[in-house]
Amino acid sequence: MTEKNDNLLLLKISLIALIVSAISLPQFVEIISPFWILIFYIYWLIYSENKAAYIIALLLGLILDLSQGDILGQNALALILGSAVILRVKKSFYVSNITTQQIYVFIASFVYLVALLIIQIAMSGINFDWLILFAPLTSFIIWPFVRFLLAKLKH
Amino acid sequence: MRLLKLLLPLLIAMALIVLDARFSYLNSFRSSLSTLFTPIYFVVDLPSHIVEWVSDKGSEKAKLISENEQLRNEMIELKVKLQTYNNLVLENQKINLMLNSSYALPNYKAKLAQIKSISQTRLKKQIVINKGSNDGIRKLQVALSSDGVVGQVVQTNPFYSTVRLVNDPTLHVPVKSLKNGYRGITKGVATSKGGMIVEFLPIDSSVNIGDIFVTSGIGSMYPSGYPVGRVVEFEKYANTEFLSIKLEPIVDMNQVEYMLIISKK
Repeated sequence: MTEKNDNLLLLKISLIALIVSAISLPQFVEIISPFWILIFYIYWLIYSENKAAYIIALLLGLILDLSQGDILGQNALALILGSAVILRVKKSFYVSNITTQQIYVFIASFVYLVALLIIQIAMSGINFDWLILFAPLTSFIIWPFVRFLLAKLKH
Repeated sequence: MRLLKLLLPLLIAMALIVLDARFSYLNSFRSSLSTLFTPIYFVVDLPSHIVEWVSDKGSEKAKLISENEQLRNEMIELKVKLQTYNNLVLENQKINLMLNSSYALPNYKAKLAQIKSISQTRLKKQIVINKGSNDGIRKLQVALSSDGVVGQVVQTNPFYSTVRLVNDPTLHVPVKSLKNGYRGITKGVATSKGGMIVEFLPIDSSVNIGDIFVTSGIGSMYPSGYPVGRVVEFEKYANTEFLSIKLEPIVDMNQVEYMLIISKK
């Protein structure tokens, strides 16, 4: 991918991820819904050669924190750690079959969730809806669809 | 070098978390940047705008006439009720003056706001409304519905504001029992059942299932006397000084469409 296409895809993906994250759903669905920003960013990460992946993750996470009214840095930290997982297995991810990719997405989402919850617990105690623990699972399930749709968007 | 590339953003994120959560240094930065998200909010809210527009255009004349007539009747009825209310307010003010009570109702001005279909509820219980700083909405103003307290404004931008709901774990509301005036402080519970707990209510307080807790007005943040929650469960544990009380919010947050954002005159 050329640098121009790379940046354009990142812009499109970020906008879609922010819009999808802001769509109001029934409370139960909303809590277990996938970490949209992470799975959209994973798609960009596996195709991009950009050297500043962590800085971009930081900025994207901060944008999400601002738009969602969360603690500034909360999603940013989680997104950096989630991206680190994917970057570690990037070469293998690129050539893996869809099920293996789903497992990588699940692990990254789990790391993202743990980071979110550690910050949440540190700030306001163990006071969160346990249903959120299903979010990595929904990210796992939704990955093939997201990948298919983003591939269409990419072309 | 590779580790540094990871560590630097991590450290920045951690520093921001501490600065934002423990201090208020980033409040103005946050509120000015949140203006940039107005187009995203607008796009997300677009379908409901379209539905509203289509529904407005599609209303038949006869329906409007019938609604108009019904509203006129309701207005007359409310005017009659208002007379009684005015008398009660006057009477209340006199009693408050006589008792020199801290529960005296101050004068508030209110702005009507509508809830927008924008999500902010994965880790927090908050909603976005269609009034922002351009409409005079400010942080810490209180949101009330026709049934009781909804929450408190925690963030504003020129066009939208975020209201943290009364059942969010980070929001505390001073309350008193409507039955006997015992005072405590509510705190939200973030389980799937939701609800709130009342803290600091002495163990010897008389509480029953179904009792209503209303705002006590202490601290002057919330006006006194607005319903907050209904007791659904209570326990008296040994070796504790306080009762354990669970409330369900009086306001059904899923049903609220409009709310009043109030501020002192």
